[in-house]
Amino acid sequence: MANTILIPTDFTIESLNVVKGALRQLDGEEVNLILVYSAHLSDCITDLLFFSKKKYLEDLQNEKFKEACEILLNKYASQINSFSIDLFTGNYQSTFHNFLLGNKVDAIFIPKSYKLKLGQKQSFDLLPYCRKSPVQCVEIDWNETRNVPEKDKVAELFFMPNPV
Amino acid sequence: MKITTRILLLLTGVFLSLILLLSGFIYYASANYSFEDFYKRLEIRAATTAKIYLEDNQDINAIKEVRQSYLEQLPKEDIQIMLTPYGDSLRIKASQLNVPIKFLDDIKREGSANYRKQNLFYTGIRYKPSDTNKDYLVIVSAENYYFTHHITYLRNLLISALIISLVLVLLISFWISRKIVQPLQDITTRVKDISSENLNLRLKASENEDELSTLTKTFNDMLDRLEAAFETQKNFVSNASHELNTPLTSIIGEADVILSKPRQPHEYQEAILAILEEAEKLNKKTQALLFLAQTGYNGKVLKFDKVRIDQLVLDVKETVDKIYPTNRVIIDFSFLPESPEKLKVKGNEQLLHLALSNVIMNACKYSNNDTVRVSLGASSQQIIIVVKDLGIGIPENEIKYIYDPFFRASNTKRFEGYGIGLPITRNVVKMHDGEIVVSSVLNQGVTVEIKLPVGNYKL
Repeated sequence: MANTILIPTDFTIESLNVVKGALRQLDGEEVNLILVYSAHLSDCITDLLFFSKKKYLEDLQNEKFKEACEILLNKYASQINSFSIDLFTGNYQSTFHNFLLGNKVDAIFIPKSYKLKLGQKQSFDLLPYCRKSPVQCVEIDWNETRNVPEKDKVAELFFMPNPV
Repeated sequence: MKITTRILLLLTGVFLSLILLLSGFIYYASANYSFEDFYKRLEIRAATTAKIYLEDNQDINAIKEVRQSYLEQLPKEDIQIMLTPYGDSLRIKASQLNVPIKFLDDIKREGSANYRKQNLFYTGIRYKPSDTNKDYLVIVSAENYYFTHHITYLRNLLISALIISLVLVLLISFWISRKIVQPLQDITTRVKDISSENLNLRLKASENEDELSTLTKTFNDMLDRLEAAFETQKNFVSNASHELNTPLTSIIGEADVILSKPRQPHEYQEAILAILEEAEKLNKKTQALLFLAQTGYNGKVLKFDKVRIDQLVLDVKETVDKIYPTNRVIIDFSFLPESPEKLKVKGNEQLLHLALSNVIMNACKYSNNDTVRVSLGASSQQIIIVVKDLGIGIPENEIKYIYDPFFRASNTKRFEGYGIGLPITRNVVKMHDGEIVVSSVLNQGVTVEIKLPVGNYKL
């Protein structure tokens, strides 16, 4: 039976280091991986009328992020049972709790010192929700790299300091 | 046809047909209304007349009075009262009154009916006085003054309004079409001014984010690329002649000096050795140039085979070990995909070997044999080889020239080389439908990403 793990993401390659760390910690265990992005939705009726979660998430990811995800998926092909990207839009801790229940999440992995880059105005930090959740929450830490030539390129994935 | 005329015609057409439709509707509706209205008036007259002549009680006077004071005489007004005719007498009555039989029939059947002969309007009602059981037809006819006069006035009004609006519409359409085409014309004039002599000129971008500003931006981007290409061409010629000239100058100088007076044999030997060395350098450069030309040539058919990239990386590492014995190249296969299918590309092994060794040797050279990390990963479409060094880096404003043959960054003076390696690598990667991305931070190092499409070989 595969474990379902949830990892907050901001669609940068550096945030994928959590995935790397989590998969290393679980070492060989099969997992269902859910990356989750958190943002409030617009209240505007026309926005809601034509809202599509798939398109919304698609627009946020760039080619490099997708490629980096694919590299990870190839690398851990036998360990990752399923992979999906989801959107959390709630306001309350209980909503997040329900979200976890709905997705049958067994564990959450979050970065310890890395701050999610909230590019959009509507996006909010999911980490406090994760820390307070009843599900086991594992923190993963690494030395953040700044000012390296490969910043925000796919190559960044290869040279990030190993997560602990 | 010019766009201006096209817009003009289109707008005029649309506006005009709208106005025509509207005027037609107004004309039809008012004509209809004037008919209805007039028939009602005739009906009232018929009813009052019938009351006055056929009833006989005290209210009659009042009705008469009302009729005289409030109902004016219509032009050609004529009132006929008759006993309802049947059979033959119906036909006779009809011809007397000059109306069709159907009209009288309709009155008899429906109780009232209308009929119109050109400008003469007829309305008839069937009337049964309350005290007798006789049955009468009352027929009122009159000319519709309102229809004849008002409707012609309305028609003239509509036609003149149509003409005026046509002129207005034409003017407005002309203005709009000019307004739309104006920025395009501006762009055309600006672009005409730009020739190979003044490629540095750019189009003025408007502030608002519309289609035209996108067009301007695209044009400017294209000009940037053109300018860079021109620059490359110019640089190439000057760099190439300079590179070829340097060894030639030393050869000529050396020969000149040695021939200026008789010398000892060992001096000749030394001189010829120096000349040989320079000639060899020249030879290497021309060979590299030749190779560059070969790889840059697209039409050439090359033999492409299955190449395993991880094997290639190990082979290259061996080659590098021979040339830089003290190198610290670390090969990191931790991101290797689990399925080896994803590691095979369709390519020419020799060329790929050359391309990759160029990159890795550059990394060793410019970092003074510091750590060089080589990683390998694969997405579903591409294999990515990443080479990262901790060397001197490339200045930010020079990074766009790194693929120019013979270009060498300003901070590479201490290192030997002629600036042909990277252009060759890029040509090779391009031949394999791949992509090469070089990113750098000055004095921090360079990261080179080489992406090659996965060959889709089955196991």
